[in-house]
Amino acid sequence: MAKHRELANIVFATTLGHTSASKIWRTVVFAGAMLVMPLAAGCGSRNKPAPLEPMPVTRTEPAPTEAEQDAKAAESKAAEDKAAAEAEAMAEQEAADKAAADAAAKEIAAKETADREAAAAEAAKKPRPRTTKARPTGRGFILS
Amino acid sequence: MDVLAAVDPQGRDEFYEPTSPWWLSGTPLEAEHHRLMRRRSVSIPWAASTAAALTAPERARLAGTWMRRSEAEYLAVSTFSVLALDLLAARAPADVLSLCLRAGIDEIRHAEMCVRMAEIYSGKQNLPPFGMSSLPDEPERPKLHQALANTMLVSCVSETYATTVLAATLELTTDPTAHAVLTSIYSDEVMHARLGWSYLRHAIETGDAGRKGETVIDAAAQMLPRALRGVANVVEAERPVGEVTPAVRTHGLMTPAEERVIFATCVREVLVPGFQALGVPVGSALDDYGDAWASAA
Repeated sequence: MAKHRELANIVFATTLGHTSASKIWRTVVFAGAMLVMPLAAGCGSRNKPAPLEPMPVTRTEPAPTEAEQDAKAAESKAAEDKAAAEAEAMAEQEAADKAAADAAAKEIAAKETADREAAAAEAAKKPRPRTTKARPTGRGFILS
Repeated sequence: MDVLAAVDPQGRDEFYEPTSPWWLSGTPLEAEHHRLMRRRSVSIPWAASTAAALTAPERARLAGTWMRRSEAEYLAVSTFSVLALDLLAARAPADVLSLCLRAGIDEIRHAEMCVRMAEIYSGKQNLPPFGMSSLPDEPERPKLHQALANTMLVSCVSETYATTVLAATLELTTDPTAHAVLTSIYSDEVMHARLGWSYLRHAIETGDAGRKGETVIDAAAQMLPRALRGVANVVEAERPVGEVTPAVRTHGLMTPAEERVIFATCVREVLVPGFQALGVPVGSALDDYGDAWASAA
């Protein structure tokens, strides 16, 4: 009888914790760390929907005479020349504005970087609130 | 015996009763406290305890254990509070923050249940012994690495071991009150442990290298031996005086030798496979807490 009890103790000792370990592996580690999914670097990205193309606009008009066509052509050319000149002037102004804006943005970014680095350096000197140099102790659940 | 007969029963109904009313402020805050605790409360059959059937030395052993447990739970309140500071500094996601702070509230409830259990076995209404947590603080390393390392210590290792040992203890617990209390604690600890593994996964997938080129994986690997040693300290610690008799075991108690075996099993079958699956090197963990350590006295 004593031998049976000894054997039972050995079996119990070798199997102790297996059932609970298996349960915790499934419910805590496998589920929490999502081990069914492979590890990926970076956040997932969603496919953006393709942009819609604008609908074409069609109009119908009566056919013009030759004189009307010449007058219209001259008018169009003058308008085109004027538009081209205006566009050139606008482009130059835009380029100048953009250069000024870029320079200002660079200045602001440089200042923000400098401020961030200074704040980080300051924060790095400070320990976390309620810090201690004592050796860490594991919490664990106290069994007995 | 109705231990609450002389206590104002505010907050008590058929599903919930105040757990440790002697530990409350006696102000209107009590009502809000009960509302908070009631949300995740499992009804505990306090009056069903079979403590009266035990001998005086057996009750004393259990009272000592439940007071030690209350001390650990009280300490855990500040553990999760300090961990929350690290997670905030690391800009952890909102769900990680909320569950970390909730874990602190859970630990208050656990401490209440433990002092109530100690009262059942000793007849004395005590408060949990005072203690404040200490987690490593290295201001010069990246905040994410510090948050992750301390989450590994508290959650991935400590709480995962706690769930393993609780699951094993529940298998031999037959006293209805002890079983209900341990079940309530166990169900919370599962979430406390899962928090760490989820955050570890998140940090590995989103974290950058530190200034010295140290990665999140490096930070995790460095913390692992410290975390295992921390839990081993608890397992190896001295216990209250008194034999763990067969009757005591049915009230939710294992021998220190059994706890060693369970920790070694947890390392071998849960922690090491989990870390390896996430690409975290485990060093000498299997050798350090293998059969030789498990069978040491």
